[in-house]
Amino acid sequence: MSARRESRLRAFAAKVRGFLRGRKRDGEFNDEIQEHLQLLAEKFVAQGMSREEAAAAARRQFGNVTLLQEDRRALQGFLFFEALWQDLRLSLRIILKSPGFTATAVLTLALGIGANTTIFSWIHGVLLNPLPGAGEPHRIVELESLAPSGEWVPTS
Amino acid sequence: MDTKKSEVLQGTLDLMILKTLHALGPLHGFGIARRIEQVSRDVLQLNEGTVYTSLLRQQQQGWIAAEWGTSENNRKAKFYSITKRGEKQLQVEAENWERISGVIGRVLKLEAER
Repeated sequence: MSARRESRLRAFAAKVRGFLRGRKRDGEFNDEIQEHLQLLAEKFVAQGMSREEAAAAARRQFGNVTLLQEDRRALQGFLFFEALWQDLRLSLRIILKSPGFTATAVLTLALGIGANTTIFSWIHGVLLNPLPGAGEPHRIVELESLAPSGEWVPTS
Repeated sequence: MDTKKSEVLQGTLDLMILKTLHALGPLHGFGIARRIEQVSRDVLQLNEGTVYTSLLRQQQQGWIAAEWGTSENNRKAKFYSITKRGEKQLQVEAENWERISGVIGRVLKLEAER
């Protein structure tokens, strides 16, 4: 197997594992980063900075933590499902936040779906399935006789 | 940002981390960052956090292994070590770099001879 394909397979397998492990990784990674920031700040304090300066300098030298978490999540999960899950959570939050809008939307949808279902039932009953009680309506035939006038007349 | 530049930087960082672990044995993230800072004095101005992204990626490739342990000051830390596959990768990368720098050196010399 080519080295490139092998490395991509490896990355994929790691993604599957990471996806299945889920939340725990977030916490562990965060702990590790916080510890690093702590040590860095202590180093600056030893060099003579005040605690606040040291903490700020440590954060600056370390870089953006949020971006790092996102990178980690991108490496360890499937972007599609992560994005989907985030979208669902956001939608739920918005829905719960504006009940008036939600109620209106739900009512409109209910009306629309209800009307559609009713009309379709009518059409189905009248046009598509005109003989209630008939087990196999497609086997029903109409018998007509040829009258002396040349017309087809229903047999009875 | 220039993609080519960041790719080269990333590759360099990967290589430096592998070399560090190869030379100094198992280290935690902070130790690795300090060593890289020492070696690349002001030449490599990168955010220390990127070390962790590189570590993660190399773990996924199987070049680095990670284990929780206790650090010098009795704190819980994750220790990273190079794997056999990592040693091989290091060798391959080092050869690549030597080859490339050799070629560039020759090309630059050509220019000078003119």
